[in-house]
Amino acid sequence: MHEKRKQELIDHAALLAAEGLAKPGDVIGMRVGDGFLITSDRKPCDALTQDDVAEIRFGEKTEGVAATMKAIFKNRKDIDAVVINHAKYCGAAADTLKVLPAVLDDFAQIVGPRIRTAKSDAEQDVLAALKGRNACLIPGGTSIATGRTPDEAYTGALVLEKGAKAYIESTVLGGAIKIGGFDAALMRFVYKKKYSKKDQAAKKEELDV
Amino acid sequence: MTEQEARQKVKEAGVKLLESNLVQGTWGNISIRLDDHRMVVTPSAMDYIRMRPEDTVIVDIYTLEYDSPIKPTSEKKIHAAIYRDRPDINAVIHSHPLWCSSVAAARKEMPVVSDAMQKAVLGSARVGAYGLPGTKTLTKGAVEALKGRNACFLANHGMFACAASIEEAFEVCKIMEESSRRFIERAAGEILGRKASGSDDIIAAFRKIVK
Repeated sequence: MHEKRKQELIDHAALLAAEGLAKPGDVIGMRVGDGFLITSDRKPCDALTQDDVAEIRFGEKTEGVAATMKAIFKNRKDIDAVVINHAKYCGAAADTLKVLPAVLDDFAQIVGPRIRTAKSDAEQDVLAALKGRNACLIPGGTSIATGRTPDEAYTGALVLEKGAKAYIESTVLGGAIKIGGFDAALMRFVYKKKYSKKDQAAKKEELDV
Repeated sequence: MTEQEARQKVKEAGVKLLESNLVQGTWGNISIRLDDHRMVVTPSAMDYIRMRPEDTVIVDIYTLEYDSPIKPTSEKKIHAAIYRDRPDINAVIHSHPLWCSSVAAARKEMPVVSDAMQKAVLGSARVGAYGLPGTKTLTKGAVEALKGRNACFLANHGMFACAASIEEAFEVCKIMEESSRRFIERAAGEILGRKASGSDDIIAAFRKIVK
């Protein structure tokens, strides 16, 4: 069951690995019915097969990254796909910043005006950091990016790392210049309601088998 | 160049940008001048793998009118303004490559860092004024920053590269990205008091600033 959706997760996990944004233990998942599909955290992201994607129902007992993912899907009905990964610049940002602001407009559009670093990797802290956002950082170097499709969550992970890189490198160049709160919120609104709606709807439709 | 050839070249340039890691997702847009009043541009919100040559849109450079059910890129105004201002330019690439984006976030003019940059960009790379996507401020800023140059940054946004052909514009794009990396590594080296190379050194310089 869910061959097409599983393949979508496998393909995006491989893309994450190819971008250098995945370490052993990183996962990607998507909502299906009253549960979700999740890639194995015991295999590298670029070596997954259909057998490495598990279907977990919300009533099942979970632990580790599966438990974090379950908590996100259960508490955030607007989220249908989640990437939990490790990326170098996000890790450095999580170590040093409580909030990572948007210094690039694609970050403002896809991720939001600013994202928080969770107090810890405990489920309630992750959910608190994600409140009203679609991404967050976790001390220790883990990043979470979410979306309406695996493709959007994957793009979120890319843009999150790019935003962290831009913040860090522009600071090194003399100072990061943040995008104003109103402008960032407006860009996010336009992206979510208009710009990406058609593309994401088409991608979702392709996965409906 | 025929309409078909231009559409095909735009599609191929999009895929090449993706493959070269010079663009992510649907971000960025490309155009080729068809004649003195028309350009072929990429459509809005469609990634370059899904995009077919026939999905590109022909837009009037002066009126911005187009005869297609497919919406052209929202950045068409900037492409058109560049063609109106620069008769020597026949291809424009707007993208958000990683290193360029970091310079754009600092809103810093990048000095010439190599002979290749001097040859491709024709001088330093200026930063166009900050503005919301689609605004006159952004368009005016890009055109001003491109005066006498083949590339510029847009504040908190990305970069524009232009040239007489799409192949040359792609090269300008690549050189801007490589030059931005060198510019940032040089700044990190000044903070660390030694030669800096790669992300580990840059992050070390950042930690030194924020500690």
